[in-house]
Amino acid sequence: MIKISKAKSESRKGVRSGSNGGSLSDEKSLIMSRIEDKELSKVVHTRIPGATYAISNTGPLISAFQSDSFQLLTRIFPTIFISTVCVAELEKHGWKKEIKAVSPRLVIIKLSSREEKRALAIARQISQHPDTNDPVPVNHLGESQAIVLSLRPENRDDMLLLDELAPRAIAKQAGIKLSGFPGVLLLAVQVGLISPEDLKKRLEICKEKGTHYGAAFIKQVYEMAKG
Amino acid sequence: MATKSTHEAKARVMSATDVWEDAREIASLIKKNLQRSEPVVKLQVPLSMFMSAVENLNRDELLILSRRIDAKLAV
Repeated sequence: MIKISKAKSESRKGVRSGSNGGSLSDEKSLIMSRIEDKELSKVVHTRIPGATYAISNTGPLISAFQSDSFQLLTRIFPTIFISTVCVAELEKHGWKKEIKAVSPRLVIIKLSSREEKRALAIARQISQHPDTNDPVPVNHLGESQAIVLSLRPENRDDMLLLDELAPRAIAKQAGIKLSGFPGVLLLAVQVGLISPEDLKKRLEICKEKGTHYGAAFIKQVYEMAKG
Repeated sequence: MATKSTHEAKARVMSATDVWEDAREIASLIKKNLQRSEPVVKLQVPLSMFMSAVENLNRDELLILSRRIDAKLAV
């Protein structure tokens, strides 16, 4: 990590001074991304026998950050894995600080080039699915990369966290075990980690902050949690 | 400070019925994974002896124990 920080610092200096023009800055950015790739590829994770791990798409993690529920997630799943595309999406939406704060419980996994190709093919499938309203394949790379990670043999007993209908349908067809963020909250109520009122409050916070959980949906989930 | 936003805010998400199924799916997977872990030998020891053993665990071992307890409590 020290190497990365140093490289970032040098890269910033280059941009600020402008002494070597845009090309050197671009080159440094490229080197920076390669260092990061190298660092990411070194990530080795030791699994606890009997524990259940999760692979998450961008949406459920944003919901967890919005409602301050990441710690609750890690009481169920000791570690949560995400792809590099999901990290980029989280950063784009302003959650960089939160990603850093929850490390090392949030582990970033880089896909191989073969897996990236497979993810692109799945993204195309999602973009053409009747349950999606976004026909642009690259906009579905986060969820498709999460699906590809779930298909790795070592991840076959992990839970995929995914909220959107279209990729959920495709993941289910592939035999992947999955849940949305509200499903994790409901389980948390069922095992006594939080109260039904707490579940409702967390979903309402997500809704207030822009996540697409409708008022009727929240009421129904709350009623189920109480039942 | 960066403005925080939501990803694919207009995407169609799961129904309340799906949420119920999701929770069941997680519970079922946790149970399955626990059963699949390495064989457990049941030892009849006084609780005080077990607590005493915990006192001698180092930080890494305590973290493993803590995660194991969290996973057990989640079922």
